[in-house]
Amino acid sequence: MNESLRDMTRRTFFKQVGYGIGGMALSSLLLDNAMAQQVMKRTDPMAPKPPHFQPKAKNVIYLFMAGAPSQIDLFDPKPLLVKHNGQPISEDIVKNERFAFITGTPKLLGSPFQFEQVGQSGQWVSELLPHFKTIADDCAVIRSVQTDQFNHAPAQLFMNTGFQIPGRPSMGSWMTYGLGSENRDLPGFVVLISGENNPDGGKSCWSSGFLPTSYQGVEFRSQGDPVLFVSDPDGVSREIRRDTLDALHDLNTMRLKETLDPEIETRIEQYELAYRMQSSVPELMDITKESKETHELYGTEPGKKSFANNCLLARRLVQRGVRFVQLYHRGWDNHGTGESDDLKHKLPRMCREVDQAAAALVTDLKRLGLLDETIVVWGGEFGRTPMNEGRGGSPYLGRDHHPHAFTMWMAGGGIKPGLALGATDELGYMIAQDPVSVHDLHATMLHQMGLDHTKLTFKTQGRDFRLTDVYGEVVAKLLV
Amino acid sequence: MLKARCSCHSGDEPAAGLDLRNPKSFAKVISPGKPDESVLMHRLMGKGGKPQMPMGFAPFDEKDLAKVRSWILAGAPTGGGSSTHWAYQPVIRPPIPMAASGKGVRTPIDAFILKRLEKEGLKPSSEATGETLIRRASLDITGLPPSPTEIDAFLADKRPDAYERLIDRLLASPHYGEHMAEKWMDLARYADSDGYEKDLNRTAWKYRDWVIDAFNRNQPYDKFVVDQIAGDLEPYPTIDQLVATGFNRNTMMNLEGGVDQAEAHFNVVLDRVATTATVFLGSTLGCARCHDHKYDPFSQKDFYRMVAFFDNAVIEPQGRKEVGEEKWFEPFVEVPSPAQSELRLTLMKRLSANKARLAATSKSLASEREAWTKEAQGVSSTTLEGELKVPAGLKTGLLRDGSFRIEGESPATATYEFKATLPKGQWTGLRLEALPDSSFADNGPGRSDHGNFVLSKFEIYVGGRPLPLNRARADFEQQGFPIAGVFDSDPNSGWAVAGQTGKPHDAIFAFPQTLHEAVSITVRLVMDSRYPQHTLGRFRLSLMAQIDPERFAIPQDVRALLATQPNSEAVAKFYETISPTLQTMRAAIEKNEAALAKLKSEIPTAMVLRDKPHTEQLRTYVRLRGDFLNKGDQVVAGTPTSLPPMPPSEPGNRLGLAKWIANPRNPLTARVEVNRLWEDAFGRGLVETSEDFGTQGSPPTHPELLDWLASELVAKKWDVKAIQRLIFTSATYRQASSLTPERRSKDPQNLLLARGPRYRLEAETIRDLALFAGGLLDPKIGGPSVYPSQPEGTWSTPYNSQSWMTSQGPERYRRALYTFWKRTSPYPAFLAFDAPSREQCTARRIRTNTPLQALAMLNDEAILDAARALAHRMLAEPGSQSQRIEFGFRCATGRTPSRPEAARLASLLAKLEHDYNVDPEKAKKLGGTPHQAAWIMAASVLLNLDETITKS
Repeated sequence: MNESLRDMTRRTFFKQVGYGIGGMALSSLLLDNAMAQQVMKRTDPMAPKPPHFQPKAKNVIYLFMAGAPSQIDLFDPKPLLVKHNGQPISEDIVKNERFAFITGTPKLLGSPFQFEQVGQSGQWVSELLPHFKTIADDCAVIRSVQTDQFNHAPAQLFMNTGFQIPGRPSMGSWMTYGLGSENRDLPGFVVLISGENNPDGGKSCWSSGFLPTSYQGVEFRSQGDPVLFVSDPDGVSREIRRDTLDALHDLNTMRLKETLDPEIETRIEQYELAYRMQSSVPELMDITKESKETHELYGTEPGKKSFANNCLLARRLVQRGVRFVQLYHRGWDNHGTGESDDLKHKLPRMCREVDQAAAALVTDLKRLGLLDETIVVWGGEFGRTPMNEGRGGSPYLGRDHHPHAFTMWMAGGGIKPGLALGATDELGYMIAQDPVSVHDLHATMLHQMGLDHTKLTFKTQGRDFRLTDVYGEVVAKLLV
Repeated sequence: MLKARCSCHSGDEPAAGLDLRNPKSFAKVISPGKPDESVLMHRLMGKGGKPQMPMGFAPFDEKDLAKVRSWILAGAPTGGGSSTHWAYQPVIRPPIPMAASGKGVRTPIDAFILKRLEKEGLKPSSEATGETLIRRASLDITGLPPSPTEIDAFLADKRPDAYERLIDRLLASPHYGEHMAEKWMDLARYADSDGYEKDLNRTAWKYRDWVIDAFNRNQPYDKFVVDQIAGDLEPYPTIDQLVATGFNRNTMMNLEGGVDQAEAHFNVVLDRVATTATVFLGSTLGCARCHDHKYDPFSQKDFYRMVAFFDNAVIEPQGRKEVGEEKWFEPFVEVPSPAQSELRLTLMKRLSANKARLAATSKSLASEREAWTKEAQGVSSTTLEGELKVPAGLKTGLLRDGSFRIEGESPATATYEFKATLPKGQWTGLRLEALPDSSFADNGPGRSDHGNFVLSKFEIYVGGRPLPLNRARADFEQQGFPIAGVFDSDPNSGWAVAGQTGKPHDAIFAFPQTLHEAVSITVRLVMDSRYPQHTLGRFRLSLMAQIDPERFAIPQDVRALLATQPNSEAVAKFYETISPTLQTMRAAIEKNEAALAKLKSEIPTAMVLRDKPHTEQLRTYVRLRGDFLNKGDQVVAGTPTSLPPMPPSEPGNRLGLAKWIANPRNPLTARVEVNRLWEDAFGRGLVETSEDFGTQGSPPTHPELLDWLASELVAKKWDVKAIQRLIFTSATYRQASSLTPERRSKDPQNLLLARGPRYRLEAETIRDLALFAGGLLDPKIGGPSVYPSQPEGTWSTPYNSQSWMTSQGPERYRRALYTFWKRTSPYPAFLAFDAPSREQCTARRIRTNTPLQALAMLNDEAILDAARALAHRMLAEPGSQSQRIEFGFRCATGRTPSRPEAARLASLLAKLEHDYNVDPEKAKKLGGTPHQAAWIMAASVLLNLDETITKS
């Protein structure tokens, strides 16, 4: 936190631009004209800012599968596990391991689901994801993601902020801090939630941490006001709102002339932006005008709180130039303590809630020509054990938390389509090839957005902080 | 530059053995005077086929490279003078400068400020208007605006010291402590919930109230520090001193299932060290968690030496470790009010009197007991023979004693059906014995892996019709699993015996009416709770004649004694629990105990620190790279070696640490505190980075003034209000805040203070101010946190059914300070105005200016309520429309509106009234007639003015 903060939120931004974004030059030749014009015109904290280099992607849609889906039952088939199903795992492997719930020597658990290779790419996909099969050729499946954390809240924070304790900025905050957002009437970083509940990491998952709060993720809700306080109270028409804002504008302007404080100018602009948000947000949230074909593609029903509706909203948001959209869908924590959280009942139900809409999103973006400039990411906070958990002797099948290896997929935005990156060992326990850390993932996403993760820094507590801490490498193999 | 950006090459173990902070070491890579031959230049430029430095960070740009080049050209001089950073040098009281113009000097502060302004060729601003001064000071000192009456009184006070009197009045207001506490809560990361996934509610507000009170009674700052860090270790600590240690109990707690509690607690302890250093020492000691501090003189060992002070906390594990449910808790204390203490004493006296009476009466029970003993000896049961049906896959074995043993793989749930025809007799009840058996885990009688069972339902059918059962008694019940649970429909409530598995147990069910021979009955034992495999393994059913289950369900050990030693102590003790004579006395005792329990639940608690007793020096381990699993060397508790040492007379524990911090010779403590007081008044500290006085923080704008104030704080015996009085009465503080083009261009950030402060108010103050303007604010001080209205659906936490119970009545309009602070879901209106989540210590909030703030001010229910109330007040004001407008304007901004401002509001009112007259339904929805609605919206405009939410 230093002097630059005040300036960041003011029109003096350009005089001070050296501070925040690693000394980048405004006169960057990489800027196209339209963007340069926009940059010059806007003075709010979300005004688009030039990237470090020519970006491959403009927007991100991150489908966060909170609770952590089982890679072994969805993307990473392990015939050896099936063969040795029910046998105790070798003591050597688990002797110094910390598990969340497993005690003693757990037994191997082969996936009860069938896999097949699909498409040109021959990606392996489980029978639980029939719709994913149709987009497998557009996606890069990474089977070698690893994390440091094995409990939900810390792991979700780590995946979102690069650190396991709340308080750091999330990736959406970093990206809007670095790049701003093109739509001035909507927040630059939007969060949409479906599934059982908020994610375990709470609102810290989209916190701006030590960055100015203007870069905090804004939750668009499916019930009540879509954005908090966006609706005028009962008895206030648009015309009356306009009348009051006009008066407010005039009175603030009188004060500005008196004090010459530029902060008043900014405040006047923020009220105007708020007024525009009051129409742009409801317009955005109204999906009734989407075609029947689109609704069928996603499986959307207007007015319902669902992952499908949120996927469609995500597409509408990036269409409008919103920089970072993050969806949370919680319920993947399938320990097998009962029918409500086991592999045979719950996991298929979760897949049914998510599979069609996630695939539809990629298909739809592609159809609209938006996939090239939008990175779609799908994944949880860690993986699941190749062993059955059997907590308290539970007869239901389930898997414990597994940080060492799990699967995510990405599509669009210059990510290599049809790629299968990395591999796990025969049991799916450790990574055998091309490990990708959470920091690597962050570095890669920033890279595609035209940001060098080593240069996107913010000074606080006496040092420069980055999303990637002191780690992270761009995963070149993932890129086109 | 090299120190700051090439941090790998510094510290205890610099990369490649190259320490760029050490001239001897960097001589290896520099040829003085010859940049082109210097390895350093090559590596910084990425020449010579080796990776470009700094590796992993942005390379030096042309400008920076040119600087390094010219430095090497100049022979790479390393400078002389003191090598100690200013903040670690002792505070030496500087002389008060003689400003060229003695005019304008009201306090020594002004002399320092004017001296600097003269140097920079700037002139101070004139004094702000009376209206501005009283509003500024009121907001800064109490966090509340002045009322129009207070403003008038101040303006009318023509005494020369009217302003000083105002400051004294404000500093003496009980709202002063509230406003000071508001800011302290961010530092103390105070919250009403645990944080992380579970984010359960906690009772922490006694600490908050302690802080309010400490500020209000102007506790000397050194005592304030010691109480919070180590009040518990003071000799004979008061309850207040224990409550003060809540400062470090405000850390988050991760209670998520499966969390390694030792690691979670490690994180808690680390947070305590980092926060203590930030708050009291303005030092980023937390940076040395993983490695030696790259910039400031703190080694990793220093950090863990500090950790050792905090690593001796009393912890109580609760819950079952083997299923990942063990949690660690730290202690709390009860903090009763005087009335509660008195009531408790009365109740306890009464209770012990009742108990004594019971005990006396019990002794005279012999004859009653003997009669019962005889009866009980005569009670017998007749094993009921019949046919048992169990689920497929299970087998039943009928043993010689008439009991059944269930065999086969233990199922998750099961229902047993037993059919029998009653033999000859007058049967009044059925006895179910759960019997141990060595073929089950822990000898049964259940089939779970701990020998337990949960009997969800127990039903008897006579001729196919259910027999209405509702009376039963068991010899033993597991906590939370009473026998009565078998009668309801919830499968998870039922009879279980954990704690006494491996022993026989008895449950006796009374029939509603006597049953006779030849009746066919079916007994159903249902075990379908959520606890898998909790089914009965071995049991026996028998019939009882002439029984009363209340009196004859007898534990096995007592039953055995009945036959052999009917006069034993154990039998007598048991009989006391069922004696009808004692029933009424027991009822009285129960009532008494219930009253005590109720009182206990009402007595607030406070979270406190407590240390395990120790005689050895406190020690802990360095954790390599800050990794909990990676233990390094053991270290002994101690303070950072680069700062003055702890006097050997101090105890080597937290108390010693606290006293070392509060020692006048500590170079940081007083500087950090006066800087914070300065920041509260001017919006920015003399050191802008109030959380970091290290080499990476901002240097002080007025170093002598900072030191003078620090020495003054110590000289005044750490009297905080005295320093604040100096600041608030200074001419510097009293300046007008308006800009001129000259001031704007010369000093846009007002670093030199040629004008008064002007900046947006804090989230809490904005809410309080609006409610105050509307006359709604409830001035009550302290107490449990409250739940003012917030948009529905804001709280939603996994595995946590706690909900936002919106407060009713005046509680809705308490000061913002009392709003329930939930870490994973902070109050939205505060979040919009830059309040932190309080997951970690926040020394400074960053001020932003966003559309979400505009929306919150326009549409938040609380602000709207305030607008309605303000409109009501304006309309109730006697006089003309313009007088009413003026009154409202003054309530919001503290100032009389100019003529154009009043005219603009009048034209708005006219327009709004016209609009609402066209559609009166709309006015009704907003809350009144068209006339009233117009005023409500005008009041909303007043509350939304930039000036209203700005201190100027």
